[in-house]
Amino acid sequence: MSAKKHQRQSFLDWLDERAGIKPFMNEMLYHRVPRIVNPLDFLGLATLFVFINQVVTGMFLAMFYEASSQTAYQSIQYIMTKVPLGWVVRDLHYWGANAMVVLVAAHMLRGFYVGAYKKPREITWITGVVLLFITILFAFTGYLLPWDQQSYWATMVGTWMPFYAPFVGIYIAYLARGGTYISGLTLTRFYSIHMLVLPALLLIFLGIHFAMVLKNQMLVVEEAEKKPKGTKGLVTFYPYTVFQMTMLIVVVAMTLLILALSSHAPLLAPADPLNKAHYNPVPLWFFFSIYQLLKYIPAVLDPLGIIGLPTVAVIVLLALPFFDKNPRHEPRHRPWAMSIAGVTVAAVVALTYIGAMNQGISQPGGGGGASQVATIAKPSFSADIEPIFQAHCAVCHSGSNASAGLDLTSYASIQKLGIAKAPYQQSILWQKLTGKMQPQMPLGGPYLPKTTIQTIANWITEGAPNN
Amino acid sequence: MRCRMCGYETHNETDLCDECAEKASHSKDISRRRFLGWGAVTVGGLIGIGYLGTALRMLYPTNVGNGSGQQQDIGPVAAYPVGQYLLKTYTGEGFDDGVYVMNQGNNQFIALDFHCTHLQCPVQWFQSLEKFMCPCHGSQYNKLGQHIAGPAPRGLFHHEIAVKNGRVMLGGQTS
Repeated sequence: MSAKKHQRQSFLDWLDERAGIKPFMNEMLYHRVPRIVNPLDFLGLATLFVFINQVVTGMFLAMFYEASSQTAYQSIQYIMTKVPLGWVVRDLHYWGANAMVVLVAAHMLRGFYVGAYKKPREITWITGVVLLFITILFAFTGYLLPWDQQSYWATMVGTWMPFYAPFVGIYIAYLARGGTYISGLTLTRFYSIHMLVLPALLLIFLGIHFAMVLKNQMLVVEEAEKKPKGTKGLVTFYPYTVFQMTMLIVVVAMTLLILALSSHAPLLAPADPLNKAHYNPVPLWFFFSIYQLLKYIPAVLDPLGIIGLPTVAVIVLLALPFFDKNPRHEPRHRPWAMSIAGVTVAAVVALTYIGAMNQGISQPGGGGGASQVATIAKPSFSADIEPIFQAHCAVCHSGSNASAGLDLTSYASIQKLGIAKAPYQQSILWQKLTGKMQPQMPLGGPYLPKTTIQTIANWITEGAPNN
Repeated sequence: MRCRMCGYETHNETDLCDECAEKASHSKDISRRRFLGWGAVTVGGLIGIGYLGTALRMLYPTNVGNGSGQQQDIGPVAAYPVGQYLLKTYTGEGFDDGVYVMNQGNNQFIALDFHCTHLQCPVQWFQSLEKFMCPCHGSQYNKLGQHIAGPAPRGLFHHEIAVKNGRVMLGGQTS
């Protein structure tokens, strides 16, 4: 044995005598695992890495950020323009936050798919659900901190949602805001929650979550361990799986970095409580599904959509291990669980997508504003015209309550009212969009760019076809 | 298994060793153990409730809904043309609130909070339509702030407003 190796061995012996780490390390490093692990089984690890990214970048942002309604916005500007690499750190934090929500949700879906919530892993699942909500609260509280129009108005709407809960609703709303409306008091309490309360809670639940994973092993490991010694395709965790995990972390880190370098975290105009520029509030993207749902259901059912559905979702998720007693893990033996989950996920994804289209999102993170786009000479209704209507008009002009009885998401309705008849200069649609006929649309602005209006004019000239 | 009273290993099927089971037959010892156990839980719980109560009292805002109650001078009556809404600022406890103010003539004013009662997006006044409209979910209110369309559960909130010595005085939210 070389002197160096000997030295290391004796240090490990010294440590083991005091900390008793050897049995634990042996168990950790040398348990049997399949040689090829499904990458989806590493989603928890990916989430953990992104969380560490949030902790590290968050610590450094906090050294420059000033949480007050007077200074927050300027301090973010300072981070982005004056602090060396400050913009990269902020972008990493911003993209990390979005990645956290996506990864936690994906990790949970994978756990559901392989049946990892079943006995004996109920506690892992339940703490995981709690961690999902902590993640969402992280995103929600962090969103306010830049104190721009987007964060101010999204928080105004978000903190009003508890109002629809029976009895205690209004108190929760005022408690969250620290006043009647969003103010500097909201900002400081959100900052404290984001920086102190949530990290403490997260560490507690992550500790339990992690301890339970170690105690009960992952499902894939449990199955590998059951196989007899010498089974083909099995290897020890170290170094094979450890190497794969390292590769995965490299991929996640590179993805975050590429996102951060290619697309910047938005910073709109500073928060204006009087909204003089008529900014249209846009919710956080993972609230798009609820936002969109509210447009479909009658107003009397709003409390159900805002409070009822999310509450039911929480209860179902938390109680899932207790009412799904089917001991089988394989998806094909769980037709009911798979169908219900499949329909739910499809509905949420579809609503989120439609919701995103309706925000006029032109870039990730969203600005909600009309972007400068080139005029299209021979536009198609479905590919070019309808998306414009969806993004800018559908808030009022769609559904059963459509303003002026005009549903701009339906070709039939457009035809029926005859608003798109050539020549375009005489069509009501064109006159409304240009302001030749008052009030100019979209009501209150921001109005469509000239290039976009010309695209619509071209479509009308073509005879407003339904193509 | 460990004996739950002395902590030493026991081979009995119950969680008491023979010696302690004998002791336990004297009920006084059991009640002392129970008292100490519940005592610890109770004291811990009370301390926890104390902290939680303090936090809630500290965090719950002192003056909500009705505003600060102070009247704020928002200019002379002459600055308000009859029949036109102007957006004014009401400064509450730490926050600025947008309020649409209209001179109805004869020193009568109406003041409407500009937060939609659905989800508190900022509504906008359209003189040509004589309507307040909300950009979020399309709620609409008439000239008096009464709800006429969209998902809002009620009309716009009013603010106290009065004329004193030719000056318009804007107060907190009423209903």
